[in-house]
Amino acid sequence: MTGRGGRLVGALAGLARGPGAGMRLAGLAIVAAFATIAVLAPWIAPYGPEETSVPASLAVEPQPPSREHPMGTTELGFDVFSRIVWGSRVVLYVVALSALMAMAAGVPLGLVSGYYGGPLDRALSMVMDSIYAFPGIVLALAVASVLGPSPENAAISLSVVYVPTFFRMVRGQVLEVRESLYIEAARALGYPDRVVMLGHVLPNVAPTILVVFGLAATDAILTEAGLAFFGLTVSYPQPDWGLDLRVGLRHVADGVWWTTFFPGLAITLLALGFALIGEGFGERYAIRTER
Amino acid sequence: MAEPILSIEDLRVYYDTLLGPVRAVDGVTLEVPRGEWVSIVGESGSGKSTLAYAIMRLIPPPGRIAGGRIVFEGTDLTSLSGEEMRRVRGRRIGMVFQDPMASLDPVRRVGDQIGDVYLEHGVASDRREARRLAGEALEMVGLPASWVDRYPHQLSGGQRQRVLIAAAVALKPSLLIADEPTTALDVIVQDKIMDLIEDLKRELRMTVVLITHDIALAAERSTRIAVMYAGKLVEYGPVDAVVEDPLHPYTRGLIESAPDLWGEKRLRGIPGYPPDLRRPPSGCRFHPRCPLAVERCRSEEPRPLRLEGGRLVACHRALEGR
Repeated sequence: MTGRGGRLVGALAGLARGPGAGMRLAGLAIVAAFATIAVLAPWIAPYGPEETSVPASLAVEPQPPSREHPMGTTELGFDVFSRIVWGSRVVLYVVALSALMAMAAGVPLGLVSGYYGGPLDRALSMVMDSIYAFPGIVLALAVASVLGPSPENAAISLSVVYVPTFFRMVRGQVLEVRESLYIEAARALGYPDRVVMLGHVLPNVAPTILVVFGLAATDAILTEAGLAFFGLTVSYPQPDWGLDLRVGLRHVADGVWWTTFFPGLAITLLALGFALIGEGFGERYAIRTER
Repeated sequence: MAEPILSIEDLRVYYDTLLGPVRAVDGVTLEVPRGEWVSIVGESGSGKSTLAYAIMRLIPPPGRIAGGRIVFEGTDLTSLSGEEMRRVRGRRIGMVFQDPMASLDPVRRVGDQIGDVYLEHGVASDRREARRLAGEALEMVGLPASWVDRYPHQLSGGQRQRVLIAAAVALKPSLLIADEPTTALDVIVQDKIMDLIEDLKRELRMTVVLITHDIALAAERSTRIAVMYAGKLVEYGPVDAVVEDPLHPYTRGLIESAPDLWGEKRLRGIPGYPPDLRRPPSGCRFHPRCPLAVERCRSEEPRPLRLEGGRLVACHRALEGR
């Protein structure tokens, strides 16, 4: 009941209870699996990401899945499975970084905007709505092409897309929490706005932040794949799922399915993992996630 | 009358609406002597809660203090900056709210919520000390100190109200404002909470201002009763005088509409409804519902009359036949 350890155990037990527990656990398992793969890539991948089984001067046919190459090879003789394993590092890095940056900007802005209201709130809401009006991929592409291709720049351009999502959800919740009697009571005890916001409003909107994080990360994976597809994250032959998807696309018509199918599957699975986490917590805290 | 701890002078609180200002409190003058228990009684919409919120300067927008002074321990609260007023709240004036079920933050332990008071007003230097003091505050209101680790959902309504009182009196304020603190509770618990407030008042030498619609409760606990109607103070005086010899017909109506325990009393309601405060009635605001109303009541607003014995009444016909 008491102590930090007890709280942690309680929080972990809470994950496995209540509505949406199955979704949460499945999502966490998927994301944890990909995170493990990313961390342990040197030990899991049978080949290096840019290690080729043939001399670079020789053009070869992509090889279908075999014992040596469980997911086949690409036209340059890269092992598809190894590239997916190594690629997960870039994908997770860009997605996590972008969601964290979007959260770091969107949450405080939504908190302040909703708490104080007034002209500041109107101005911020207008700016956020204008950003929100762009289709995510278009906005991310525009920002990324201005910043230039790199994983960090890709993360920045993705975060721009998701700041309004955090902002809107947090602001909406703050508007509701702000009217609570316990906020009034806190003010009657002479707490400054900072304490009321961080000590009472923020903890009560925390579940929303968790849910939005899951949803933003889900969307960010798909958008990241889009950026990678256009070569705005890493440059070939560095591994990134979206980029491999585009390179593999050339040969689809020749019946070479494995160079696109497996990276696509990885993208889908990871997105599913984050979506399950988000929706699972949404179920738990009865947070509506229509955006 | 002892020196007043709180003196409200011609206080006006308006809520601005599209159809013009609602005059929720309209020129109230009231002195609360130190060490007493003053109950402010009235119907819903009489302005009694607004008055309490005004003292704390916590009127929610679009409400505003449109005029008058609130002098507390020699300082006009209406002239303080936001930061100065913040330091008065919780430290020198404590406030307890109507709905204990909703007044505690659901996601924070009660010990942390009480402890914040000590931290934010610089009494405790760290969390540990704040927690220890919170435990002592819990004991002061008759709860075990070990309950600092409980969450609000683990407590009953009465226990929550005790926690809220503990937070409100944690820094030993000289004035405690209680806004219908027992309305949401059952009568047995209500009585115990009132006992608690009485005990704390004595121990901490506080002055109490109780906002209530229940004149029987007010009669039982207070030293003075103030009766409000439609944003105006209509009668004020020592409890015995007001209850046994009410001067204002509205006060009389309130007393006659309160049931007694034996059911022997014939209850008489007050016909009609409180007025729309955007367009209050001319003259005396009570005249459309008053059994004694005459032509003068329709045209001329009665000024508050100060009488001997610290009484005050605002009625043209109060002194007839005396």
